Amino acid sequence: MKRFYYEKEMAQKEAFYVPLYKRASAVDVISIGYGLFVVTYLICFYVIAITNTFIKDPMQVDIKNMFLTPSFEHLFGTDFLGRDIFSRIVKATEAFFLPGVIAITVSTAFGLGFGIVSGFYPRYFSRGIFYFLDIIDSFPRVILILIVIILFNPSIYVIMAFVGITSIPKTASYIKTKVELLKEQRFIEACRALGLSKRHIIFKHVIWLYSKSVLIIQATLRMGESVLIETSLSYLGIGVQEPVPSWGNMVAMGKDFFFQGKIWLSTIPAVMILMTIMGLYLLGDGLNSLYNEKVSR
Amino acid sequence: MTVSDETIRAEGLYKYFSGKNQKQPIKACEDVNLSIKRGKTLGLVGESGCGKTTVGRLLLRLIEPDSGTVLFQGIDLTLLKQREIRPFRKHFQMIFQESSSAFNPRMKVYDSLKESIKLYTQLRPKEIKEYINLLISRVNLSRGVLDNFVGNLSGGEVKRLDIARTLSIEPAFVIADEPLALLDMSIQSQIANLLLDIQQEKSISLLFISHDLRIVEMLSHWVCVMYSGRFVEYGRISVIRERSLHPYTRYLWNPMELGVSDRLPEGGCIYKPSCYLYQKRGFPLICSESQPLLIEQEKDHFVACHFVK
Amino acid sequence: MPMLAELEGLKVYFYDQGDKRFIRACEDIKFSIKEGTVLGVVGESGCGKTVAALSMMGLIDGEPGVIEGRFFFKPKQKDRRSVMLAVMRGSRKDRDFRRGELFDLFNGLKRCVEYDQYPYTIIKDSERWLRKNNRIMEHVRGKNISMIFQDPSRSLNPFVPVGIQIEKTIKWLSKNEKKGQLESEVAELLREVRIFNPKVVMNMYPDALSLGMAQRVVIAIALVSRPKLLIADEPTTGLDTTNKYRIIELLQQAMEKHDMSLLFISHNIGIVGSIADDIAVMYAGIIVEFGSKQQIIIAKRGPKHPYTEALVSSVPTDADIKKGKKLKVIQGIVPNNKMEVVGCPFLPRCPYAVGKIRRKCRERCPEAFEVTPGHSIRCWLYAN
Repeated sequence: MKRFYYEKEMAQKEAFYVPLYKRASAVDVISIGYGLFVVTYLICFYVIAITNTFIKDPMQVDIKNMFLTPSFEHLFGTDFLGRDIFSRIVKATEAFFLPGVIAITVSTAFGLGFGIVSGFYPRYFSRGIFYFLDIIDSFPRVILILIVIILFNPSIYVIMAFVGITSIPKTASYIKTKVELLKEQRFIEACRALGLSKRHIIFKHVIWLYSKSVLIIQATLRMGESVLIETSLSYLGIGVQEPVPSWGNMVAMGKDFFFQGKIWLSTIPAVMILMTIMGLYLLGDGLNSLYNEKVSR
Repeated sequence: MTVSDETIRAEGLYKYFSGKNQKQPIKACEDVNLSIKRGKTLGLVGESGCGKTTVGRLLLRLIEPDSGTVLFQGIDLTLLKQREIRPFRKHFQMIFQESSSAFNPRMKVYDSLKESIKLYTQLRPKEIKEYINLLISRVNLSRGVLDNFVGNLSGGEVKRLDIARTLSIEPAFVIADEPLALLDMSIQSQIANLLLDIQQEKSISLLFISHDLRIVEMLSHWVCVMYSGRFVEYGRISVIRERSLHPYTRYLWNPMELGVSDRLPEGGCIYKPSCYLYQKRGFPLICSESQPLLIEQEKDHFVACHFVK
Repeated sequence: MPMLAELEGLKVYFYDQGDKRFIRACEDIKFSIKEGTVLGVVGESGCGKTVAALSMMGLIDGEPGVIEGRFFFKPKQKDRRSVMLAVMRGSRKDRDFRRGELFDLFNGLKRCVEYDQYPYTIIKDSERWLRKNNRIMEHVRGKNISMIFQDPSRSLNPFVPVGIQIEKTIKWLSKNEKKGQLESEVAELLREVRIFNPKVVMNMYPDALSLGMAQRVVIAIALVSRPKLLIADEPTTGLDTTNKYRIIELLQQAMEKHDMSLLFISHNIGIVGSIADDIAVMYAGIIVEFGSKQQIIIAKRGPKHPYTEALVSSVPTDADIKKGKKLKVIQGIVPNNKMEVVGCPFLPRCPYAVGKIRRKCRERCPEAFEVTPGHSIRCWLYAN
């Protein structure tokens, strides 16, 4: 029906702005729901870890109770030094949560800044900024991280800051294309004719109404990425060191006992990694198709 | 004519657009002079692509002129920086051709209207709501539209909203850029009458841009006819209605009888290839040599043609 | 003058999957076109004029719904045999497939979705009717009836030069033509639609053309086959005054030259009045008035549908302008086609629906009453 009458308008503008909850499909709802569940338990774990309540001391060595299978007392069992695995898993969120947030902040803040500046003033800034960003983008990320580890102490905060920096170009280019598209729109011109300040136009119309979805999607993907990087570095032994728990080094330590039949030592943290990263990426994908943005990892 | 009597005055506006791939800059408008008195309407008529909209945007300084001055109540706008011009934007406004794209499609109508009111007045939220309701009823809309997104409204409704938004900050000068072009026949007359009413009520100076000479004639006190970036005839409506002197204006009055060709002029008068006078007079040299200037032929009537006496 | 085409009882409904109900696009459309004349269809956006034109071309498919009716058409002498055979093959037993020289192109066309009354679930929608209809239409479409679509720049392929697009149409119609001959033929066609530099325009891409130029090229493509009937769907919308009249002039000349009829669709009654011989006024999916130009526009007095009256009077006349009168206004809004129509669709905006007659208007949609020969009005005011 609409095809005949509204075809022209459909092409030119978002003819019918449908509220979000109406355009969500079942797959979107499931993946976003699962993603939100993951985000919820991550935040709960982090709050518990920093306040140190409700859980047993994750560093408490108890030689008498080595290799206990999961029970009511020890929810995920104990490891080779008798430490409670559940409390170690909760504690391990400390290792990537704050660094991940730092990575998100760095990439969002700088990406937004660069994107808006180069989108609104293409003549002066665009070329310079994008040469700089191309240089960053052309470095292989893993090598860059290894260089950082060699140069500085293997502090996870520094590493994550660099993860953030390396993902600036992606965010910046998304924002830039958004701004360039919006700049030509009649309603931005109408805002200018009304005398609204440039700051208001940028923050209200460009960022809040049009770019926030991109930023949220980027943030979830970035969080998943930082979990992945932190755990894999710790697994290799260059991230978080024993006895401070991390999901990566828990898998690494537990794998020696895997073939002795004590599979929960490494399997439980590995499953946690899988669930978390999958949840974050699914959340990103779900939001992606919901907002109909075309953001790639 | 005193300065305070005039709302806006433009003198010698030139604008060329230069594209990346074009060698020559594209002519948008040349030598535009106009003035609008308080509470009067100036109609601007011409084909699409002749630079009507460019003139409107130049007057609002949404784009920068290459040369020329725009005086708003005696203040030269072209000397001001963009930042300094912002306080003046309260006084001049634009009604767009495609009103539906002049509103942010992701914003509710109420928020869009609130934005500008908040900027220029210190009303409390409750008062703003009352004020918006007043505006909405002034343009004959129901309050139901306020909770909608712009995409869900019909063309006539959005046009009314655009007029309401323009009214909300009570400007002294309004540009209506082809406000009737994309509307249905039965809605066109509603909007035209609404514009006329509001203009008389608030004594707004209006620049009415259109490609239909008949509608312009109904609404305006002065008319200027534009062809290919230049004004070819300019005068009081009563004079032009009785004695339109330029061949293009005569063509616009009865387009079925006089033909126009598509060819572009190489030099001289811009209207030469389509001009029936040019053919009638036996292709005189003067037409291909120089562009006639806008000369006052009688009181309040300016024409740019070599053959008008 | 002999008849060229007659459309009878066209009914098009679309099924809206979101709201789970049928939307009326056209209801009981009936008009006729004589040979060598222009029929103008006037109506506001969304009133079903485009759908009527598309269904005449047999171009409505894809979406489930109801389509019914009869369309009698007189094909060219050349195609007469093939059209007759195709129509006969698909003919339904209970209907006659010809009326004198005219053949029923919608013969056998009854596309009806079977559905429950509530909650409106679709039971059956077969594709057979479509194939049947296409078998008939392939002898007619493009050869006997051509169409100019609403937006000229969008009906041309943006990646192919204009000349080649015209060439392809010529090749499709007659297979054995040499290359040099083709080119000259294209140039001639372009010159016919008043493009003075065909050699340059032939090599241009559609986006380099102005809207007026693109419209001419589209008309040139439509004229390739020398059709009997040209359907022009809003050919002047978006063009400015100068181009508008040039396009109309051009269409009129083409009509004279090729002995062609024209179905001219527009929302502007002024434009339609300047070209059409007969006029059909559409409102919300029905034809509210059908008659000659004399009866509808020129005659100041006499029976008229309230909507036509308002439309005609909303065009300012010279006398009005001199007096400085205001434009006359039709109150109310254009009906949304999602609204369910009970009774006369013009009732909410009608100034005459007062007193006794109003009840009648509200209850039932009026039939077409013939006030004078060839002039029918759908209004209870003129009920016999």
